[in-house]
Parts: sequence; C-alpha cells; structure tokens
Amino acid sequence: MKLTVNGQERVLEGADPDMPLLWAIRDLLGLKGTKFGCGRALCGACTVHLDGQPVRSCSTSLADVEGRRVTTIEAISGPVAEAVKSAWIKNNVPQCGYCQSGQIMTAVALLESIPKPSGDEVNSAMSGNICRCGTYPRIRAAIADASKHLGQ
Amino acid sequence: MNTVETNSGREIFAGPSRRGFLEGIGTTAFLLAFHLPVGPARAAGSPGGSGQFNAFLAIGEDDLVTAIIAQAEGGQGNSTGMTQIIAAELGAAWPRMRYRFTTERRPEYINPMLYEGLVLTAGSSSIPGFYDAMRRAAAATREMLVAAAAKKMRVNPGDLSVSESKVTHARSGRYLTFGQLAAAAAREAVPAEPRLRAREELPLIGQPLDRLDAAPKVDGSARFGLDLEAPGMLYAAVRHGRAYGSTVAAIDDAKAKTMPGIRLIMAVPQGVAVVADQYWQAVKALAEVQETYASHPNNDASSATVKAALRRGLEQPGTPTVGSHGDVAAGMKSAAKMLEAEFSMPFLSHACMEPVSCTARVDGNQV
Repeated sequence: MKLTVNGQERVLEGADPDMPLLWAIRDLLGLKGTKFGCGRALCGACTVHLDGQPVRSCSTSLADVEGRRVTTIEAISGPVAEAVKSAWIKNNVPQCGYCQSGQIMTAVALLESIPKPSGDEVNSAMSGNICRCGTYPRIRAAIADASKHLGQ
Repeated sequence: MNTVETNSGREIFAGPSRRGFLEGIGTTAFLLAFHLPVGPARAAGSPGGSGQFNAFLAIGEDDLVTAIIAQAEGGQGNSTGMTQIIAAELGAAWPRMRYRFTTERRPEYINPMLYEGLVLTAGSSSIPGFYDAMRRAAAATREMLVAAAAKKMRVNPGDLSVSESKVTHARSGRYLTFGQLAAAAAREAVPAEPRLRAREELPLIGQPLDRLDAAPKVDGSARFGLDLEAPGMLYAAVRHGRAYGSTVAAIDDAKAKTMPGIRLIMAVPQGVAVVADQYWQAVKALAEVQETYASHPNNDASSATVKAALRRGLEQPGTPTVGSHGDVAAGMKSAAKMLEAEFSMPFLSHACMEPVSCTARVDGNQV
C-alpha cells in the first residue's frame, strides 16, 4: 500500500485496505493533528485533503487512496493556508480546539476554490464541520479575514 | 421541556446557589481532561526553566515565567486566564508568560470550590477557585524577587517596584530582570503573608487577551487525551449494552479472536471490550463479537420511566433541599402572591467532539 502523505511517499506494509485513512494517518504514521470525532463522516473533525479536495478520512478507506496525495493539518501550506491559519489565531477561533484541524482543512479548500466566497457559500462549505463549543461566528469572521487578506 | 404550574398567588424563585450547583454536579459531570500539551503551549521561545518557586509558577533564567496549571483546558480559556492571574500579581510582561499543565498531585491543586481531596476540573471553577491561591503564590514570589534585588542593588526593598518582568529602583533608574534574579530569589525566605496588589495595581486583570492556546490548536500540534501514545500501548474498543447497568451474560468471539492484532476479548462493566495492537483492528473485530446481556430492570427504561422514578424519589419523606435562600417559610406566609413552578430537564449528553477516552499504564498489579 503506497500513498503520498504531506509530500512524502509512504509505504504501509501489510496494512488492511479496509482501514480508514484516519487510522493510518494517526496510528500508523503517528500524525495526531487529524482528529477522530464520530467515525461516520458526520462531524468533519477528521477532514484531510485528498489530491487537494477535502475528504472525511474516517470514512475513506486505504484502498481508495492508494497512489494518491494526502495532506494533513501538519503540512498544509501555501498562501491560502497561511492566511487561514493567521486569521484563525488573530480571531482567537479555537476554544477546546478539537474540531479546528478539520475546520481549517475545509476552510482552506473553500478559499482555494472560491477566493471570495459569499456568506451562503461559506455556510454551505463549512456545514459539515461541527463545533460543539460554538465557534461558528469566529470561524466565519476568520474566513472573511483570510479572504480579504488574500485579495490584497 | 420545562413545565410551569401556577396554582396560587405566590411567587417562588429558587435559583440554585453557585455552591449548590457545584455540589450537585457529581464527580463526573463537567470533568474535563481535553488538552494536554506536553510542553509549554506557547509556540515561540523556550520553556520557563526549572526555577519553580511554588505549586503555581516557575521563573527561568531566560526571563520566562511559566504558570503551572493543574486544571484541564476544556476550551473556556482558563489556561490563558490563570496565566494572566500570575502575570498580573507578579508583575510579569505578558509576552514573556508561558504556561504548562501538570498532572502532579499536590494539595495546592485541590480546588477549594469543589470536593475536598479531589483534583478535578468542573463547573467553571478554575478561575474563581484558584484566583486567590495563584495571587498569593505570585505575590510571595514577587516579594522574594524584591528581597533578592534589594541585596544585589544594596537598596531598601521598599524603594523597589515590580513590573514588566523587572524589579526597578526608581530613584536610580537601575533594574534587574526576573531572569537575573530567579536563582537568588529562590533562596529567599518564603513570606507567609505576602502583600497582594490593590485592584488598580493589576491592570492586566479584566483585559481580553489573545488566547495562548490558539496557535497549537491551529497547526495541529495540540495534544488531546486521545492523542496519547506510549511504547507498546494497546488499544481497546468498547461496546456497552443498551441499558445502564447491563451485565454481559455470554460472548461469542469465535470469529473475532482469529482476526489480526487481537490480544484479548473480554466482558467489562456494562459491555464488552476488544483489545488489539491497533485501534482499527479492535474496532473491526468488535463488529464481529456477539454478546448477550442478562435481563436488567433498566432494559425497559425510557424518558417516561426515568421521570416517574425521579418523581417518586422527590415524594419520599426526607427528600433533602438542595438550596435555599433566606427564610422561605416566612416569605411564603407574608407574600401577597405565590407562583409555583416545576422545572424538569431531559437527559442531556454533552456530546463533546472528542470521544471519551482513558489511557492506563499497567505494570504488574499496579495501574
């Protein structure tokens, strides 16, 4: 089983092809920034980028990612990612923080495809990422900040 | 749903007291252990060094002050707030503050607002519970820094002031930094009754500061309970029976135990557990375990039966009053109008994002 994780080719010898990508990332590769929330693609905490698109790693099997490019919160980079992360810190978005890796992965993917999203587009893109602390207003503010910064 | 029943002309308001609320939450509700970074959570700079003055703070020769926090950060910002308390009373420059969590058991870490003898985080009590103790610890440290500075500068301690991580002799303009003083100050006698700063000397208190835990929660480096790993660690996947108090009667694990990585399949209180080398192996095998549960009175429990049981409990003679303010009986007699209200709440799960987890180190018979 071969895949590219955060720019590095990784070989997972004898890994169960049924294993969700999440557990390969967390337990086989030791990258703990991607979180396990529900295991059913309902909360968004486990969001990673697969070939640049946000996916729920808890419900994506290793068999489905063979040979593909996975990016996790630890390695997300580029102007959009930097703008989003800065905006997140500036707006003091995280509270408990457990959902924030997933929120950021989804927000970065949104701004990569729509640099100036409307409010509805933000709500629609982020609707699969749940935050039980209720940081949604700050998430929206941070996305708006990042979008504005990128437009300058 | 709350119900309000009014049967006569008197108004009753019985808001639970803070104390009553804290006493009522039990030992598990609101108990938080989410964010457990290994080192100081501020990304930049080095740790505050080992110059620990007391249970609550350390000062490094690098000038960094580390607030030591025995409470969990559940997201409410208590790690920033408790660090703020230390900085304010001590007179430290905010950018030179760090914090670290500790799981050490010390009597100082028992929250006086909560149960005697327990170190726990509950009921929004971190700041009010530790405000005085952290201020006293910081004030004592400040006086030790002043005493050390007075000796080094050969001046009267009363002529020294402390702010921005410096002890300054205003008349001469000379100053020494916390880092320069830390080692000598640690050898000073600990004052039993340090002077606490007056409110106007605490400009940092009440300021909305940026959260210290934001950066590690944004770059994925913050560590939560579920992220803990230890060499040779095994993982268990657990399934509970549907009734509270369920007991497993029989387990069919014929298929599950032949699956890769499986170490142990066992009954646990209220359910079954599969222990494996990897969590996913345990989850996959658990799906193949079939267990049956002994009959239990709670098998038929529902919101309606729980409500009825609670009502029966309330009607027992000698049901204790949880909270009471003033002379209720007299108030009832003299009031012109009395309203009676009954409030009930359904069972509520906090449903926090991180699944409940627990890591145990087992050495022989020691856990």
